Amino acid sequence: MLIYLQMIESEEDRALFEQLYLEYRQLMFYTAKRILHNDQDAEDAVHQAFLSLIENLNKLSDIKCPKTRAFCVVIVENKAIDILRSKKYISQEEFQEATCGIEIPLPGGNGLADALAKIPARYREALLLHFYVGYTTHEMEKQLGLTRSAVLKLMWRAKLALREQLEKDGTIE
Amino acid sequence: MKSKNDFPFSDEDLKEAARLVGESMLASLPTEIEPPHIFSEAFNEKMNKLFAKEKARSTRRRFLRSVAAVLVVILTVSSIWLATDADAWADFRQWIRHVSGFDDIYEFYGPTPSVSLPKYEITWLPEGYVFSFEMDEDKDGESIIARRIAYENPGQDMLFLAYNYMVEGHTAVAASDEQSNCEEVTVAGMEGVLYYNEGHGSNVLVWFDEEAGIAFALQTNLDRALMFQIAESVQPAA
Repeated sequence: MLIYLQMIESEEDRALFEQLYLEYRQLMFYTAKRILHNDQDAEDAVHQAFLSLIENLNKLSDIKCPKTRAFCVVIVENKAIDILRSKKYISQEEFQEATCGIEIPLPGGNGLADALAKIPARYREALLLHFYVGYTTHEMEKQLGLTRSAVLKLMWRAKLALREQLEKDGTIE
Repeated sequence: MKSKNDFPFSDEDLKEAARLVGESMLASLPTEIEPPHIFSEAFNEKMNKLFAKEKARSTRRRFLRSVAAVLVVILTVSSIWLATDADAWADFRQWIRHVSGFDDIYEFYGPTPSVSLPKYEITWLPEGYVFSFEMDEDKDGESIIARRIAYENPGQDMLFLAYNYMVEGHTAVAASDEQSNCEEVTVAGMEGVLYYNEGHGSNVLVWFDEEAGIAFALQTNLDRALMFQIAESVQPAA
Protein backbone atom coordinates (compact mmCIF):
# COMPACT_ATOMS: atom_id res chain seq x y z
CA MET A 1 0.00 0.00 0.00
CA LEU A 2 1.54 3.23 -1.04
CA ILE A 3 0.07 6.61 -1.20
CA TYR A 4 1.82 9.89 -1.01
CA LEU A 5 2.06 13.34 -2.30
CA GLN A 6 5.38 14.73 -3.13
CA MET A 7 6.78 17.53 -5.13
CA ILE A 8 8.59 16.45 -8.20
CA GLU A 9 10.61 16.12 -10.18
CA SER A 10 14.12 15.08 -10.70
CA GLU A 11 15.55 16.32 -13.95
CA GLU A 12 17.97 13.41 -14.09
CA ASP A 13 15.28 10.75 -13.66
CA ARG A 14 13.20 12.18 -16.42
CA ALA A 15 16.20 12.93 -18.56
CA LEU A 16 17.31 9.30 -18.49
CA PHE A 17 14.20 7.99 -20.15
CA GLU A 18 14.10 10.91 -22.56
CA GLN A 19 17.73 10.35 -23.54
CA LEU A 20 17.15 6.66 -24.01
CA TYR A 21 14.23 7.39 -26.26
CA LEU A 22 16.00 10.02 -28.32
CA GLU A 23 19.17 7.97 -28.62
CA TYR A 24 17.67 4.65 -29.63
CA ARG A 25 14.23 5.06 -31.11
CA GLN A 26 15.55 5.10 -34.69
CA LEU A 27 17.81 2.11 -34.16
CA MET A 28 15.00 0.24 -32.45
CA PHE A 29 12.61 1.03 -35.26
CA TYR A 30 15.20 -0.10 -37.78
CA THR A 31 15.68 -3.37 -35.88
CA ALA A 32 11.96 -4.01 -35.54
CA LYS A 33 11.31 -3.28 -39.18
CA ARG A 34 13.94 -5.80 -40.25
CA ILE A 35 11.79 -8.42 -38.58
CA LEU A 36 8.29 -7.11 -39.23
CA HIS A 37 8.67 -5.36 -42.61
CA ASN A 38 5.90 -2.95 -41.75
CA ASP A 39 6.10 0.58 -40.31
CA GLN A 40 3.08 0.36 -38.06
CA ASP A 41 4.04 -2.99 -36.56
CA ALA A 42 7.60 -1.77 -36.10
CA GLU A 43 6.34 1.31 -34.25
CA ASP A 44 4.22 -0.96 -32.06
CA ALA A 45 7.30 -3.01 -31.27
CA VAL A 46 9.25 0.13 -30.33
CA HIS A 47 6.44 1.26 -28.09
CA GLN A 48 6.20 -2.16 -26.46
CA ALA A 49 9.94 -2.15 -25.95
CA PHE A 50 9.85 1.20 -24.17
CA LEU A 51 7.03 -0.09 -21.99
CA SER A 52 9.40 -2.85 -20.91
CA LEU A 53 12.45 -0.63 -20.65
CA ILE A 54 10.65 1.60 -18.21
CA GLU A 55 10.51 -1.33 -15.77
CA ASN A 56 14.24 -1.48 -15.29
CA LEU A 57 15.27 2.05 -16.01
CA ASN A 58 17.22 2.24 -12.78
CA LYS A 59 19.58 -0.41 -14.15
CA LEU A 60 20.68 1.94 -16.89
CA SER A 61 23.18 4.57 -15.99
CA ASP A 62 25.23 5.13 -19.10
CA ILE A 63 22.86 5.68 -22.00
CA LYS A 64 25.51 5.52 -24.68
CA CYS A 65 27.41 2.44 -23.54
CA PRO A 66 27.39 -0.65 -25.81
CA LYS A 67 25.48 -2.72 -23.25
CA THR A 68 22.62 -0.24 -23.18
CA ARG A 69 22.58 -0.19 -26.97
CA ALA A 70 22.57 -3.99 -27.08
CA PHE A 71 19.87 -4.10 -24.46
CA CYS A 72 17.58 -1.84 -26.50
CA VAL A 73 18.16 -3.94 -29.61
CA VAL A 74 17.50 -7.20 -27.78
CA ILE A 75 14.33 -5.91 -26.17
CA VAL A 76 12.87 -4.49 -29.37
CA GLU A 77 13.77 -7.68 -31.21
CA ASN A 78 11.92 -9.61 -28.53
CA LYS A 79 8.85 -7.39 -28.87
CA ALA A 80 8.94 -7.56 -32.65
CA ILE A 81 8.99 -11.34 -32.44
CA ASP A 82 6.01 -11.22 -30.07
CA ILE A 83 4.09 -9.21 -32.63
CA LEU A 84 5.10 -11.58 -35.40
CA ARG A 85 3.98 -14.52 -33.29
CA SER A 86 0.64 -12.92 -32.51
CA LYS A 87 0.01 -12.48 -36.21
CA LYS A 88 0.97 -16.02 -37.07
CA TYR A 89 -1.18 -17.57 -34.35
CA ILE A 90 1.26 -20.19 -33.25
CA SER A 91 2.27 -21.25 -29.78
CA GLN A 92 5.04 -19.69 -27.76
CA GLU A 93 6.98 -22.94 -27.70
CA GLU A 94 6.76 -23.50 -31.43
CA PHE A 95 7.84 -19.97 -31.99
CA GLN A 96 10.78 -20.20 -29.65
CA GLU A 97 12.26 -22.80 -31.92
CA ALA A 98 11.98 -20.56 -34.95
CA THR A 99 14.88 -18.35 -35.95
CA CYS A 100 13.16 -15.14 -36.82
CA GLY A 101 15.17 -12.35 -35.25
CA ILE A 102 17.82 -10.20 -36.76
CA GLU A 103 20.76 -11.91 -38.37
CA ILE A 104 23.96 -11.61 -36.41
CA PRO A 105 27.32 -12.06 -38.12
CA LEU A 106 29.30 -14.91 -36.59
CA PRO A 107 31.95 -13.48 -34.31
CA GLY A 108 34.42 -16.19 -35.45
CA GLY A 109 37.22 -17.74 -33.44
CA ASN A 110 34.97 -18.88 -30.64
CA GLY A 111 32.78 -21.89 -31.29
CA LEU A 112 30.44 -21.13 -28.43
CA ALA A 113 29.94 -17.54 -29.60
CA ASP A 114 29.30 -18.68 -33.16
CA ALA A 115 26.75 -21.19 -31.90
CA LEU A 116 25.09 -18.51 -29.79
CA ALA A 117 24.74 -16.28 -32.84
CA LYS A 118 22.97 -19.09 -34.69
CA ILE A 119 20.41 -20.33 -32.17
CA PRO A 120 16.79 -19.12 -32.33
CA ALA A 121 16.46 -15.44 -31.45
CA ARG A 122 14.34 -16.08 -28.37
CA TYR A 123 17.09 -18.18 -26.81
CA ARG A 124 19.87 -15.87 -27.91
CA GLU A 125 18.02 -12.89 -26.42
CA ALA A 126 17.65 -14.62 -23.06
CA LEU A 127 21.32 -15.54 -22.92
CA LEU A 128 22.44 -12.07 -24.05
CA LEU A 129 20.23 -10.36 -21.49
CA HIS A 130 21.60 -12.51 -18.70
CA PHE A 131 25.23 -13.01 -19.64
CA TYR A 132 26.02 -9.85 -21.59
CA VAL A 133 23.71 -7.12 -20.35
CA GLY A 134 23.82 -8.56 -16.83
CA TYR A 135 20.15 -8.92 -16.00
CA THR A 136 19.10 -11.26 -13.24
CA THR A 137 16.35 -13.75 -13.93
CA HIS A 138 14.07 -11.63 -11.77
CA GLU A 139 14.74 -8.57 -13.92
CA MET A 140 14.20 -10.66 -17.02
CA GLU A 141 10.74 -11.59 -15.80
CA LYS A 142 9.73 -7.95 -16.03
CA GLN A 143 11.54 -7.28 -19.27
CA LEU A 144 10.18 -10.27 -21.08
CA GLY A 145 6.78 -10.32 -19.44
CA LEU A 146 7.27 -13.88 -18.22
CA THR A 147 6.84 -15.68 -14.94
CA ARG A 148 9.87 -16.79 -13.00
CA SER A 149 9.42 -20.41 -13.98
CA ALA A 150 8.99 -19.41 -17.62
CA VAL A 151 12.25 -17.46 -17.52
CA LEU A 152 14.10 -20.37 -15.93
CA LYS A 153 12.62 -22.75 -18.51
CA LEU A 154 13.62 -20.37 -21.29
CA MET A 155 17.20 -20.21 -19.99
CA TRP A 156 17.39 -23.98 -19.74
CA ARG A 157 16.01 -24.45 -23.25
CA ALA A 158 18.45 -21.83 -24.51
CA LYS A 159 21.35 -23.81 -23.08
CA LEU A 160 20.00 -27.00 -24.63
CA ALA A 161 19.71 -25.24 -27.99
CA LEU A 162 23.26 -24.00 -27.62
CA ARG A 163 24.54 -27.48 -26.87
CA GLU A 164 22.69 -28.87 -29.88
CA GLN A 165 24.14 -26.15 -32.08
CA LEU A 166 27.64 -26.93 -30.84
CA GLU A 167 27.05 -30.58 -31.74
CA LYS A 168 25.71 -29.63 -35.15
CA ASP A 169 28.71 -27.42 -35.79
CA GLY A 170 31.02 -30.25 -34.77
CA THR A 171 32.48 -28.16 -31.97
CA ILE A 172 31.59 -30.90 -29.51
CA GLU A 173 30.64 -34.51 -29.96
CA MET B 1 25.81 -40.93 -20.42
CA LYS B 2 25.07 -37.28 -21.06
CA SER B 3 22.57 -35.73 -18.67
CA LYS B 4 20.03 -33.18 -19.81
CA ASN B 5 21.68 -30.70 -17.50
CA ASP B 6 25.20 -31.50 -18.53
CA PHE B 7 26.37 -28.53 -20.54
CA PRO B 8 29.84 -28.39 -22.03
CA PHE B 9 30.27 -24.74 -21.11
CA SER B 10 30.47 -22.78 -17.91
CA ASP B 11 28.79 -19.50 -17.06
CA GLU B 12 32.14 -17.80 -17.61
CA ASP B 13 32.30 -19.31 -21.12
CA LEU B 14 28.78 -18.03 -21.75
CA LYS B 15 29.68 -14.54 -20.57
CA GLU B 16 32.57 -14.37 -22.99
CA ALA B 17 30.48 -15.78 -25.85
CA ALA B 18 27.65 -13.39 -25.09
CA ARG B 19 30.07 -10.47 -25.10
CA LEU B 20 31.39 -11.48 -28.53
CA VAL B 21 27.89 -11.96 -29.93
CA GLY B 22 26.71 -8.68 -28.43
CA GLU B 23 29.59 -6.82 -30.00
CA SER B 24 29.07 -8.55 -33.32
CA MET B 25 25.39 -7.67 -33.25
CA LEU B 26 26.11 -4.01 -32.53
CA ALA B 27 28.80 -3.82 -35.20
CA SER B 28 26.28 -5.10 -37.75
CA LEU B 29 23.83 -2.31 -37.02
CA PRO B 30 24.14 1.17 -38.48
CA THR B 31 25.25 3.95 -36.14
CA GLU B 32 23.04 6.45 -37.97
CA ILE B 33 19.72 5.56 -39.54
CA GLU B 34 19.40 7.41 -42.84
CA PRO B 35 16.88 8.63 -43.66
CA PRO B 36 15.44 8.68 -40.15
CA HIS B 37 11.96 7.29 -39.76
CA ILE B 38 9.25 9.88 -39.15
CA PHE B 39 7.17 8.43 -36.37
CA SER B 40 3.42 8.57 -36.73
CA GLU B 41 1.20 10.82 -34.63
CA ALA B 42 -0.38 7.78 -33.03
CA PHE B 43 3.04 6.58 -31.93
CA ASN B 44 4.03 9.99 -30.55
CA GLU B 45 0.78 10.12 -28.63
CA LYS B 46 1.40 6.72 -27.08
CA MET B 47 4.93 7.71 -26.16
CA ASN B 48 3.70 10.92 -24.55
CA LYS B 49 1.47 8.82 -22.32
CA LEU B 50 4.43 6.65 -21.49
CA PHE B 51 6.51 9.68 -20.61
CA ALA B 52 3.75 10.81 -18.29
CA LYS B 53 3.80 7.40 -16.65
CA GLU B 54 7.54 7.52 -16.21
CA LYS B 55 7.26 10.97 -14.74
CA ALA B 56 5.02 9.61 -12.01
CA ARG B 57 7.15 6.51 -11.53
CA SER B 58 10.33 8.50 -11.17
CA THR B 59 8.62 10.37 -8.40
CA ARG B 60 7.63 7.15 -6.70
CA ARG B 61 11.19 5.87 -6.85
CA ARG B 62 12.44 9.12 -5.43
CA PHE B 63 9.87 8.91 -2.69
CA LEU B 64 10.91 5.41 -1.67
CA ARG B 65 14.52 6.48 -1.51
CA SER B 66 13.63 9.44 0.60
CA VAL B 67 11.55 7.59 3.19
CA ALA B 68 14.62 6.75 5.21
CA ALA B 69 15.43 10.41 5.40
CA VAL B 70 11.91 11.09 6.67
CA LEU B 71 10.36 12.26 3.48
CA VAL B 72 12.92 14.66 2.21
CA VAL B 73 11.21 16.43 -0.60
CA ILE B 74 12.98 17.63 -3.65
CA LEU B 75 11.56 20.30 -5.79
CA THR B 76 13.02 21.56 -8.97
CA VAL B 77 11.71 23.81 -11.63
CA SER B 78 10.67 21.91 -14.66
CA SER B 79 9.16 22.85 -17.92
CA ILE B 80 5.92 21.24 -18.93
CA TRP B 81 7.31 18.99 -21.56
CA LEU B 82 4.47 16.57 -21.89
CA ALA B 83 1.36 17.41 -23.71
CA THR B 84 -1.68 17.72 -21.50
CA ASP B 85 -4.17 14.98 -22.00
CA ALA B 86 -7.90 14.65 -22.18
CA ASP B 87 -8.14 13.39 -18.64
CA ALA B 88 -7.54 16.81 -17.31
CA TRP B 89 -10.45 18.11 -15.34
CA ALA B 90 -10.76 21.53 -13.86
CA ASP B 91 -11.32 24.88 -15.31
CA PHE B 92 -8.29 27.01 -15.65
CA ARG B 93 -6.97 27.88 -12.25
CA GLN B 94 -3.66 27.63 -10.51
CA TRP B 95 -3.64 23.87 -10.65
CA ILE B 96 -4.80 21.10 -12.89
CA ARG B 97 -5.10 17.41 -12.17
CA HIS B 98 -4.29 14.62 -14.60
CA VAL B 99 -5.18 11.04 -13.91
CA SER B 100 -2.49 8.63 -15.00
CA GLY B 101 -3.21 5.05 -13.97
CA PHE B 102 -3.42 5.10 -10.20
CA ASP B 103 -1.36 8.28 -10.05
CA ASP B 104 -2.70 11.78 -10.04
CA ILE B 105 -0.39 14.40 -11.40
CA TYR B 106 -0.97 17.98 -10.38
CA GLU B 107 0.49 20.72 -12.49
CA PHE B 108 0.60 24.25 -11.21
CA TYR B 109 0.07 27.46 -13.10
CA GLY B 110 0.28 30.14 -10.43
CA PRO B 111 2.40 33.26 -10.66
CA THR B 112 5.97 33.35 -9.45
CA PRO B 113 5.83 34.55 -5.85
CA SER B 114 7.37 37.85 -4.95
CA VAL B 115 7.77 36.91 -1.30
CA SER B 116 8.90 33.81 0.53
CA LEU B 117 6.31 31.25 1.46
CA PRO B 118 4.51 32.32 4.63
CA LYS B 119 4.64 30.01 7.61
CA TYR B 120 1.63 27.90 8.44
CA GLU B 121 1.03 25.70 11.42
CA ILE B 122 -1.42 23.09 12.60
CA THR B 123 -3.31 24.57 15.50
CA TRP B 124 -5.06 21.35 16.51
CA LEU B 125 -3.23 18.07 16.83
CA PRO B 126 -4.43 14.70 18.09
CA GLU B 127 -3.29 13.85 21.59
CA GLY B 128 0.36 12.93 21.84
CA TYR B 129 1.52 14.55 18.62
CA VAL B 130 4.16 17.24 18.92
CA PHE B 131 6.23 19.23 16.46
CA SER B 132 9.24 17.24 15.25
CA PHE B 133 11.02 19.19 12.55
CA GLU B 134 10.52 21.57 9.69
CA MET B 135 12.23 21.81 6.35
CA ASP B 136 12.26 24.53 3.77
CA GLU B 137 12.37 22.20 0.92
CA ASP B 138 13.64 24.25 -1.89
CA LYS B 139 14.24 27.69 -3.12
CA ASP B 140 13.31 29.26 -6.38
CA GLY B 141 15.85 32.01 -6.69
CA GLU B 142 15.80 33.69 -3.32
CA SER B 143 12.29 32.78 -2.26
CA ILE B 144 11.32 29.70 -0.33
CA ILE B 145 8.47 28.11 -2.22
CA ALA B 146 7.87 24.83 -0.39
CA ARG B 147 7.95 23.68 3.21
CA ARG B 148 7.31 20.47 5.08
CA ILE B 149 6.57 20.17 8.78
CA ALA B 150 6.66 16.87 10.63
CA TYR B 151 4.88 15.98 13.84
CA GLU B 152 5.37 12.81 15.82
CA ASN B 153 3.70 11.01 18.72
CA PRO B 154 5.39 8.84 21.37
CA GLY B 155 4.60 5.77 19.27
CA GLN B 156 6.71 7.35 16.50
CA ASP B 157 3.72 7.76 14.19
CA MET B 158 4.48 10.64 11.88
CA LEU B 159 2.19 13.25 10.49
CA PHE B 160 3.31 15.63 7.76
CA LEU B 161 2.02 18.92 6.55
CA ALA B 162 3.55 20.01 3.25
CA TYR B 163 2.68 23.16 1.39
CA ASN B 164 4.02 24.99 -1.58
CA TYR B 165 3.36 27.87 -3.86
CA MET B 166 1.53 26.73 -6.96
CA VAL B 167 4.25 28.13 -9.18
CA GLU B 168 3.93 27.57 -12.90
CA GLY B 169 6.22 24.79 -14.07
CA HIS B 170 6.09 22.82 -10.83
CA THR B 171 4.29 19.55 -10.45
CA ALA B 172 3.26 17.20 -7.68
CA VAL B 173 2.15 13.60 -7.71
CA ALA B 174 -0.27 11.70 -5.58
CA ALA B 175 0.37 8.04 -6.22
CA SER B 176 -1.73 5.24 -4.88
CA ASP B 177 -2.87 1.77 -5.75
CA GLU B 178 -6.13 0.10 -6.57
CA GLN B 179 -7.00 -0.25 -2.90
CA SER B 180 -6.93 3.50 -2.34
CA ASN B 181 -10.05 5.58 -2.52
CA CYS B 182 -9.96 8.99 -4.08
CA GLU B 183 -12.62 11.52 -3.25
CA GLU B 184 -13.16 15.17 -4.09
CA VAL B 185 -13.62 17.14 -0.88
CA THR B 186 -13.55 20.63 0.53
CA VAL B 187 -11.36 21.80 3.36
CA ALA B 188 -12.51 25.01 5.01
CA GLY B 189 -14.34 25.83 1.79
CA MET B 190 -11.35 25.10 -0.43
CA GLU B 191 -11.30 22.41 -3.12
CA GLY B 192 -9.31 19.32 -2.37
CA VAL B 193 -8.88 15.60 -2.89
CA LEU B 194 -8.67 12.88 -0.27
CA TYR B 195 -6.65 9.74 -0.98
CA TYR B 196 -7.76 7.29 1.63
CA ASN B 197 -6.91 3.70 2.50
CA GLU B 198 -9.32 2.03 4.87
CA GLY B 199 -7.00 1.44 7.77
CA HIS B 200 -4.06 0.42 5.61
CA GLY B 201 -1.14 2.75 5.42
CA SER B 202 -0.81 6.35 4.62
CA ASN B 203 -3.62 8.72 3.69
CA VAL B 204 -3.20 12.03 1.97
CA LEU B 205 -5.48 15.04 1.95
CA VAL B 206 -4.62 17.76 -0.52
CA TRP B 207 -6.31 21.12 -0.82
CA PHE B 208 -5.74 24.30 -2.71
CA ASP B 209 -5.86 27.82 -1.34
CA GLU B 210 -6.38 29.79 -4.55
CA GLU B 211 -6.30 33.11 -2.79
CA ALA B 212 -2.91 32.51 -1.23
CA GLY B 213 -1.72 30.53 -4.26
CA ILE B 214 -0.70 27.64 -2.04
CA ALA B 215 -1.28 23.89 -2.26
CA PHE B 216 -1.40 21.94 1.00
CA ALA B 217 -0.96 18.25 1.66
CA LEU B 218 -1.53 16.44 4.90
CA GLN B 219 -0.10 12.94 5.10
CA THR B 220 -0.87 10.64 8.00
CA ASN B 221 -2.18 7.24 9.03
CA LEU B 222 -4.98 8.81 11.05
CA ASP B 223 -8.62 8.37 10.11
CA ARG B 224 -10.45 10.75 7.83
CA ALA B 225 -12.35 12.63 10.54
CA LEU B 226 -9.14 13.46 12.34
CA MET B 227 -7.49 14.40 9.08
CA PHE B 228 -10.16 16.98 8.33
CA GLN B 229 -10.00 18.29 11.86
CA ILE B 230 -6.25 18.77 11.52
CA ALA B 231 -6.46 20.24 8.02
CA GLU B 232 -9.11 22.74 9.00
CA SER B 233 -6.93 23.90 11.87
CA VAL B 234 -4.08 24.93 9.57
CA GLN B 235 -3.50 28.65 9.99
CA PRO B 236 -0.81 31.18 9.17
CA ALA B 237 1.71 31.00 12.00
CA ALA B 238 1.31 33.64 14.64
